[in-house]
Amino acid sequence: MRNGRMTGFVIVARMRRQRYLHPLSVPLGIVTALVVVVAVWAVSLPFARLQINNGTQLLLHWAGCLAALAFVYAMRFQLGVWAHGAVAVAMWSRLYADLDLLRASDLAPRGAAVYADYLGAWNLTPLFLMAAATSLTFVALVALALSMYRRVGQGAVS
Amino acid sequence: MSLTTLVVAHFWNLACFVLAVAALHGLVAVWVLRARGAALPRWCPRVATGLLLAGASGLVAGNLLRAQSLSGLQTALVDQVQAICRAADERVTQLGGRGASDDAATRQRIGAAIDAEFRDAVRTHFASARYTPLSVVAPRGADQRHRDLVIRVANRARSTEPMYVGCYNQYAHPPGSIGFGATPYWRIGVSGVPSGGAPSGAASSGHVVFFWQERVDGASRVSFQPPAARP
Repeated sequence: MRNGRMTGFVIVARMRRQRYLHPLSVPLGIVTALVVVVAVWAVSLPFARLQINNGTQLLLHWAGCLAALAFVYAMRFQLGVWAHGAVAVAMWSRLYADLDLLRASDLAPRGAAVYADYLGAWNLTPLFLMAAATSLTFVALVALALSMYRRVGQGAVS
Repeated sequence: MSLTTLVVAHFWNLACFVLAVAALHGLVAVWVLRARGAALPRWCPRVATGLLLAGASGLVAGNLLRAQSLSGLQTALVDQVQAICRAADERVTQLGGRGASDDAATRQRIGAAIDAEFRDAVRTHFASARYTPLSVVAPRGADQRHRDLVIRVANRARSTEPMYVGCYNQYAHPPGSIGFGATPYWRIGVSGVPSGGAPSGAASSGHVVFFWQERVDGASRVSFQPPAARP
């Protein structure tokens, strides 16, 4: 009963409820995702290069991403889901970019086999774990978003 | 020599990877939503699958492009550097340089001409060496101390140590003129450089000498000819 009589308490309760779940258009989500990818890449450009062998720096990066994500989730849950996927994509692509840069700076025509050497030479496990954890939590939160959406009773996500 | 292709291939690969990973996340999200009974439009999984395939085939294409570009790179690089050495050598002869018998003013004038030649060559051919297996060791920026032209080539299929291609500037460094402390590392242990001032053929008078250096079993091996078996 949206247009029925609402006391102040009901209005506040509804607002609070809708704050966590808001039907979000796909274009806005895509724009958010693009902004997030660009932002994650911007902090790892040469003037602020992310050193993938530096555990502390990686953890700080990861914590910063989580904090920003939590903020977005608190604002608009579905926007948060988009941003979460974008963070995952940005992390995987950041990892790939370093590997491909190493691949590009070698004359050896060995194709993708050279990646194995670099993975052995560098300790990339933390970065891998970060990216994998982000992707898995993304999947979990997609499912959570669906069940939240249903609990509010607005039908299926579109 | 197409260094631009290599740079393009790197960024192309990266873009394709981003596309593929984003599409994969979308596909998984669609799959989860469907598995839990959400009614999604039919185009969602199709578009995601299409983008995933597009990204993956783009990656394959980018790697092919790079492999093709790399396969001719070493030959092209050797030809290029040889041409630079020959041009610098001809410049010395043109300016009337005869080697050790020249007076100080002539030496300085011709030395500056060779330096300028090397700087121009680096600016023309190796300015965009980032994202490629090549890197310019000397002359680097304003640093012209060593006065040679040295390009480092990484080729891990042959050796974990890099190879070096370049020109020894024998006009500025006559044999025996470099002391122990001042020897750059690509000249350490190098002997038998054709000396300046002795015309040894029509192609080169020996003022600027092409070299090709590899480390084999920990020892540096220098040859003043292009490699016979070009890998």
